[in-house]
Amino acid sequence: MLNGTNMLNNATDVHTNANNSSHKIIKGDLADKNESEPFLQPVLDDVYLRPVETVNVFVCTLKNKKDTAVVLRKFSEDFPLENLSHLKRIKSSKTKDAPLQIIVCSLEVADGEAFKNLDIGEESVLSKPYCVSVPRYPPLTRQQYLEAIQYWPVSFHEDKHIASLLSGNYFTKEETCRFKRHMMMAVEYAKHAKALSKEPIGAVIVDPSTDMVIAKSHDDRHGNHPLHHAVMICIDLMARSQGGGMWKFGKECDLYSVPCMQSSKGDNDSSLPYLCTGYDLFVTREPCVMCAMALVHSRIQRVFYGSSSKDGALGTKLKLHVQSGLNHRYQVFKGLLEKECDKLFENNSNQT
Amino acid sequence: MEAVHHHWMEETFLLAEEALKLGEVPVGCAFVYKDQIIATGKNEVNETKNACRHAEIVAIDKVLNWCDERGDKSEDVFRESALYVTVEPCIMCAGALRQIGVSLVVYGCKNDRFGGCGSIISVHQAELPTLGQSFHCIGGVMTDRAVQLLKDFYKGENPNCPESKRKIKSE
Repeated sequence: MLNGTNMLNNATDVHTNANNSSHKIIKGDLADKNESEPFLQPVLDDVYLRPVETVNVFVCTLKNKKDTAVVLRKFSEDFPLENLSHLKRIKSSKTKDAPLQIIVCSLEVADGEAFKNLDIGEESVLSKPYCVSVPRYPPLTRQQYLEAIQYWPVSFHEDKHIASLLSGNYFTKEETCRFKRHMMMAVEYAKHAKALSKEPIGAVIVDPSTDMVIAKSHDDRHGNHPLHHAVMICIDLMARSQGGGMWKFGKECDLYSVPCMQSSKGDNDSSLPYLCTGYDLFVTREPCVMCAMALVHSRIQRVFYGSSSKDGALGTKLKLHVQSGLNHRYQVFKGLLEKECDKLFENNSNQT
Repeated sequence: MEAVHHHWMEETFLLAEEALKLGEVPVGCAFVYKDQIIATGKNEVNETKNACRHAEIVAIDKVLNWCDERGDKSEDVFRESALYVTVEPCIMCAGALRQIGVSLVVYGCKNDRFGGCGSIISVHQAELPTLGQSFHCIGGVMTDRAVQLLKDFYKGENPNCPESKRKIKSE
């Protein structure tokens, strides 16, 4: 019989055998590799980036290897790991006379009746249970995996797409060149705005399947309309290219959208583009929450931005592109022509 | 106070019903300034092929025009205005409303899909100083009527959505 009281007394004895040195090495390695060519950073959901969180479980040391199968079967039946199924049940130990550690159950389960009735036969088979910190969530990236196994062995199924995004080699050189060219155009528009004493922000919408520019714009929020942010204008020019549009822009605005793409078959022609479906947006500065949500509504596929902004909604304050509960998500990459984009705000007093 | 809200909300429902007739998501709104409606809006997304053409954005455009014609400063007018809208403003509109500096928003039902005043996130109160002042919200005014309108709409289909993207209904 395991003694429940003893266990609770030991609950404060938390083993913290993990160290963060491997974490640092990996980071440094990445930074070195990309020093020559700063790569586009994917703005991923926090679940991929968070450090390993731990939870306490009860662990016993198995005194004799030959009892492993029996104990394992017993524990698996009586205490399925449920939310902790990423954990391996057994951890090999280097100590000679205590070769194996086995997870009994989580702390919550230990409070229940079942735990008190635990009977694994001979008492001498197991040590007194003690508390150990183990990773709470399954690792989603190699970095999280390497950190997690410092605590306890876990299983890891690497997401190839996420791994590729984090590798820094997700895009080919050709693609990166094309992206830079489009961002350069956005920078030009931002410079134009700056020359007109407007907020120095430029935006370009591109159809990546044809490399065609659908719309380009610069910010005009300090003009007649506080909502005329570069992204909002660009979205409206995209709508105009599809025969719609909500705003009238003065001719003096150096704004541009492709000619109408209306079909002779009428509005129900399925070959016509639908909002920003499949399109990329290049914008010199991280969008605000209004613009980020406008891009959700518009079904944009990818957003590339240069500089981060204080209250930005695509990485800084929020990650609206991966917000749970919304009906559309998009990919976001930051740091494209970051230096050029940062430079736009030099000597600009009203940076928001 | 409640009765006043109902009075203005009645007006917004007429706009929402109009939108429904036109095949748009049935949302209507009105800006009330010094005890009178100065601008109204209804959803015009399909008409403009711009998914940002929500009732609130339409009405904001109209207030700006109204101020322009009278030579009033729009910041001053928005600050003293209340927005009445049949459905909780979405995240985008909540962001827009902070930027124009409105101080009070009264709405009918919650917006479970896109709500920016508590349902998905709380843009109206979030710590986003560069976006402008936070604003106060009163929700749940004539909820049932707003919900019924949305139900009527979602029974039908979005006529602007391409065939391939339409959901196959199991019913």
